[in-house]
Amino acid sequence: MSTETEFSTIGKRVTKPDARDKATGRALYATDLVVPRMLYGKILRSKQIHAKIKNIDTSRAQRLPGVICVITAEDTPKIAYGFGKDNLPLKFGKVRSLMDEVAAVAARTPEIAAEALELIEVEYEPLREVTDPFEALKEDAPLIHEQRADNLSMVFDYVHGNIDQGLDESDHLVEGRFDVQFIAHSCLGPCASIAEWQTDGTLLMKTPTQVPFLYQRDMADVLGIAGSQVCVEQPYIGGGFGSKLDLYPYEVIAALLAKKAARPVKIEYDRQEEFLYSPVRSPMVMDVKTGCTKDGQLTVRVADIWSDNGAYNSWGAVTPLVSMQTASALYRVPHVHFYCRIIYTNNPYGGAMRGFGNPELTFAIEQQIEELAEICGMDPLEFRLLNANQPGETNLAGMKITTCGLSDCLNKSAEEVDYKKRMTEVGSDRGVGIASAIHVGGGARIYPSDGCGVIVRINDFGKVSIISGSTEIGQGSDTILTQIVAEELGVPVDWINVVNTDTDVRPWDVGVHASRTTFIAGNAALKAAREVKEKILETAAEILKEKPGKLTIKNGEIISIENPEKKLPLGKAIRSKHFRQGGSVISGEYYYDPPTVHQDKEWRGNISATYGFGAHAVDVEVDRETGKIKVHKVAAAHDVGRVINPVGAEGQVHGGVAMGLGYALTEQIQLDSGRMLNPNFTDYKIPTTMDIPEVVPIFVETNDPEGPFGAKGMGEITMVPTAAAIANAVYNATGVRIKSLPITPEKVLNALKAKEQK
Amino acid sequence: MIQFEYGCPGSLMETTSILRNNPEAVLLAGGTDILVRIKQGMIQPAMLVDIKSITELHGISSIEQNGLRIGALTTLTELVENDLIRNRCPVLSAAALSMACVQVRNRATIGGNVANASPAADTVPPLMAFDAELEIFADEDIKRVPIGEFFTAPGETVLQENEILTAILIPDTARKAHYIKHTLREAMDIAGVGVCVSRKTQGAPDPRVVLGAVAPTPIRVPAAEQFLSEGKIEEACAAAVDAARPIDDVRASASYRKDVIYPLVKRASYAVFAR
Repeated sequence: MSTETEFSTIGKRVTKPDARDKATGRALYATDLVVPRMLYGKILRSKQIHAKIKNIDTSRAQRLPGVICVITAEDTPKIAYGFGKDNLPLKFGKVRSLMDEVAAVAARTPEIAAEALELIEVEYEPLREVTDPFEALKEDAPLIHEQRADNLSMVFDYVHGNIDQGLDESDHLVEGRFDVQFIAHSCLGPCASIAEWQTDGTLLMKTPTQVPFLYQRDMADVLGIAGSQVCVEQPYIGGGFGSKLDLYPYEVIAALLAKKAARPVKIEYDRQEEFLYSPVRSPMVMDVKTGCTKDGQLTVRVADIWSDNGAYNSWGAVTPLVSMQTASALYRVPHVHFYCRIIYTNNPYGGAMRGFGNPELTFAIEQQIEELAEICGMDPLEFRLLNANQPGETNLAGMKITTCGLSDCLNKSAEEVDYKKRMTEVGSDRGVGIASAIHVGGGARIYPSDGCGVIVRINDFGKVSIISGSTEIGQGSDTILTQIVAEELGVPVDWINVVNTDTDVRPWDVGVHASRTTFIAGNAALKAAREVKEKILETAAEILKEKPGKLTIKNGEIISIENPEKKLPLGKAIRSKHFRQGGSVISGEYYYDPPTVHQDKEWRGNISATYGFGAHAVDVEVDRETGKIKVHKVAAAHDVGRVINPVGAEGQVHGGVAMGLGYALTEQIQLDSGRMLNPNFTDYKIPTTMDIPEVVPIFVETNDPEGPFGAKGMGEITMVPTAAAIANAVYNATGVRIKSLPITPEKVLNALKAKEQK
Repeated sequence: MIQFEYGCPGSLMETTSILRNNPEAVLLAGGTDILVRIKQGMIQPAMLVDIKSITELHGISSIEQNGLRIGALTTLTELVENDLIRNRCPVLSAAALSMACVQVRNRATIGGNVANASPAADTVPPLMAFDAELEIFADEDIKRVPIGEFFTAPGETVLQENEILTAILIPDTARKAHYIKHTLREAMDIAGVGVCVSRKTQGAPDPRVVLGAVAPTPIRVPAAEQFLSEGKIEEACAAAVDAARPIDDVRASASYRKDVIYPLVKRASYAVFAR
């Protein structure tokens, strides 16, 4: 592997190609789109949290001038969808939450559609509700899905080692109950889709999904048509963070309305609807136990978890797949038991969200690490270093840790806040804290495939097009692919264009999730570019009368390595292939599917081709009289394999830290009987710029052998350890340990009062 | 479609005549509150009467010796930036700066903030701590109401249907004051508890202790003021806690609001009584 100085664009600060359009408002998001003859769809939601639908009368709505059509479940194939096959696009027979879709209208204007909703009369017969997951598990609890025996949607059970042995071998054991809250993704771009049926019977969806190719199948299944009849086009996407990982009823409803109206239909959410009707991050209650020997070697870890899934299974229901890895793989622990119940309630249902179960359990585990370190009389940093994952290990979950910069991340982040010295200081209201994280960094084979296809083409003038299955959602992946192809092909980045078009043109990809795009699509792009380069050099070799192996491409020119004066502009080589009998276009394609396995029934197997590691060290100040926490600094060190684009990598750190701070301190969906009380940015408090402390991104480059130019994925891990680090710093400052998120001033103050009374 | 009639009178006389003929009309100043409430369907006024073209509602001027007359349409940004305000009543500038964001501050007015009668209105505790008076145009006449007598309940004031708040008067600005807005977030947040303490700069301190967001209206706490005038800060804090009648809502619990009144009153008191 070459050293950094030899790279032309890898590791350089490259401005995102979409930055200018986004900054000037020229970029068109789904909410901005208008197509000719378009109608506006609106959805009537349930007014009841749990009820039978006795009757729906849409006649008055249908008669309202400007209304084109009104649909209920009766107008649909009633095919349940979602990976639990427990959700209908329009509900039939009963409603299970206030998110539930009961009827929908397509009208000439959004105002008429809204007025029509008011005219739909729904007769409900209320049922007993259950919004507490513990209550929902009781024998006499009302059933959310009455065809099931109970409200336990799923159970995830993982064991390695032997828990009894682990407990026996433990000199010290800490136990505690931790809880984490409902939060919202708060994407700047709310949900919006346009459905349009073509004359050939194809459904064209303009929609901001993160999974365009899986979406084709899901949409086809729920409509009862063939996957080939669904084409997905993604406009600019205003953030996803996992929220757009599933197909949602509103998109199916847009398609159904468009079919019935025989016109394109757009459905878009305003901010309040985005809060009320898009999926959430599910809360968890976690009983966690960790043990160690007297010299600080971890022995055992037990996590017993209750997750409030809400009324339907979307991707939130499988977040334990990743929490499980936090349990099995964060540090070396010989005996681990992870058990998680996914519980149906009448609350909003959970979707995927950045970190996917990892920040949740890390919040608990990393606090217990500090509790044990304290009992052992060890510096918590030393305790962590003693137990840290090491390169070359295969852990007991079958995860092959190839490159691993965890110890470096711990040391460098700690140094940035002067951790060792400040940790032992007493008598101030300032405190320092640290927490580590592990997350997949080389894709995640949660489906039988973890592949992505990329096509690289080059035109008559040497301009390069990347046609990738991967999806840019603001994370900067198109820039990464551009740099990778530029580096491999030896052309300037501004000669390259990433073509974002529809699923009919783009090669297949699983989707943008699991921090996989840089790694998976990056490898595909690298290898597709390599094919293009070989073809170019072959052609150039004929013209320059050199062996292809003696040629290279630099700054868009083909040159002889030995005789640099022998050179050929790139476009000339390409044109020579176009302007000849028997010529060809120059393109390359590659489908990269990493060397990983689908986990077995015991949840073992190397799910990712490499793993990312990180540590956040924070410096906080606690106001002991009001409980308010001020975070002064977050030093965020991450093993990213190699930084492809420092601008993008720093952006991921800043964004992840900000999201982690919100999770730690201020964000919380407040529910009263399943109804959100704060569906607006005034009362759902994401941090503002004034709340963001100094953030110091630190990159540890371990140069992963499987990664493109050594890179690993890093999108999610940047938010994983923040909340735990802050909780540890609050303890360091005050001596009170807050085991409940968000760490509100009220919780801190109450804990301080309780401590004083002791 | 949200529909309403729109009136744009050029004078106070014209405004009151519109109000007389349209009892359901609502006055529109900056619109940062009203328009949001209309869009959210919380209110459906038949008519909006835009008073922004009425010149006598604008402007900040000096009155009496060191007093201020602040036109009701003075924006929060003007409160932040105006030299007269910054020099004579810096606490009002600070309170205005703590509110919302630049864009909203450019539109929102002090008259709107006062007349909306939110218990958490940030300009009100400082105004009460300066014994401000409200100038009200009523029946072709001008009357003055002490701000402490203006609020009757959340969103409710003594203003009659055809009356207009025209200006806020601070007869004497010779006070030192400190306002603390306690929030969860550092910007774009609404006070969970607001505390303003003031004292005269000359002679007997004659302190004021005003609490926001802990009762149906912003309240003065005479008992705390009495203690402060005797130099008893701890007792004043306890009296403030006793006087508060906070509620539980999405921003904070009642018990937490009670808990923080004590330290906040203490801090504000030390800030104005230091040296």
